[in-house]
Amino acid sequence: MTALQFNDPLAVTRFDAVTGLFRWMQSIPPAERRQFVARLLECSDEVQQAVIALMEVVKAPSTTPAERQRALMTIADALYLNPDEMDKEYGQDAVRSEEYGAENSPPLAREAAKMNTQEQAFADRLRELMTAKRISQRELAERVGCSQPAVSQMLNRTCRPQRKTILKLADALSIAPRDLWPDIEVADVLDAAAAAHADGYEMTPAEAEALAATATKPRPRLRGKSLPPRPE
Amino acid sequence: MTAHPHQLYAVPFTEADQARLGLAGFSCGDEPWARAAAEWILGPDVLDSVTRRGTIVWLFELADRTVVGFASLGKTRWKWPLPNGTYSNLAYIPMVGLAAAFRGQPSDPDWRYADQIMGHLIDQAAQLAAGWPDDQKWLVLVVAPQNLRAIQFYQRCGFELIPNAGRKDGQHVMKVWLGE
Repeated sequence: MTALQFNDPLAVTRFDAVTGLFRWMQSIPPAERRQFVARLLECSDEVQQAVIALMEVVKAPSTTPAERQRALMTIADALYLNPDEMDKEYGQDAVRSEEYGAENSPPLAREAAKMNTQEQAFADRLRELMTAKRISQRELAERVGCSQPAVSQMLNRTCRPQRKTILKLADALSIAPRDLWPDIEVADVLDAAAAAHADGYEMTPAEAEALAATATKPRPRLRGKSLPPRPE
Repeated sequence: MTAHPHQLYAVPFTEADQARLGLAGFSCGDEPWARAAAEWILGPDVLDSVTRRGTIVWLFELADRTVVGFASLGKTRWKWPLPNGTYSNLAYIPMVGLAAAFRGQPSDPDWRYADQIMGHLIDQAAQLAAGWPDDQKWLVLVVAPQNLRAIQFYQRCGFELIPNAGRKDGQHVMKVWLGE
């Protein structure tokens, strides 16, 4: 093995690491050991790098037990070692999660129904516009900067468009975003309310200056008066 | 002594109220900002604001428990004053909504529901900001520039539109001074 030649100054370090790895593998059952090695070998260089970085975390003395546990779980996930007990699959299925939420909460059910209607309206409208403007899926994909299958998925409703995609599509079709997705303005208002409340929100200098301007300190013209609690 | 028939009561909002509001078909109207207000109180945003930002939320009810509207009050942690300011608390109204059926109601100007709700917010905000340094004693809110009805209402309550200071997302900020 050329990787382990004695004139390589890193050989000793590598032997140390390999010995450590073997010793650790001795401690797990043979079946799991084989699975671990097979999975480690078949994954991409990027995943291998990530696993190595996580192993550094696991063995660092400063790592807390909870962090170690999380790192090990992430490694197991990355190497597909512990499929979800329930359905032998990884991660969360967004569609199923949404359906589950809808079954268990009336507000979520309404949201899901509304989203569904909007999605259908969006797909219909997009198809209509493409026909009217004689734009092919390929051409639209080029204008938006996505793949043709992605456009096809949106038209067939197998993929819900992201907000930025709606904006790009509207731009590509020379229409207003709300003509494609009517509730985009509602989303804008909700986003703005949340953004203004977020930590460390930075005002524009003009905004800050205007707020700081002591010349105008408008006082309430309405008498502040807290409302009573409900009588028993 | 019986209470005035238009007297609103402030009821602390809890997650359980969402089902009640949903069943009653709570709606603030059809405009985008009105739909946003209803979505806020009926959906995940209100819970997010309460748990992550410590926002206080009230429902405003009539004596028979009809919900007339809701309001919320929180604190910002904006970087301010510029340029070297750290995180500052300003009183902030994340969302406020009046049920569409009660817009402009009642006709008796002394008992306008919108005024009762804003009076409540101003008093609560003043209490919140009582111990704060003078330059932070502001109550601020964000409003869609197309929502002229709301802008006029806030102006009538004493809020001032911060001029030429539109936010990146196109919303406008309004302020009122809570100090002495």
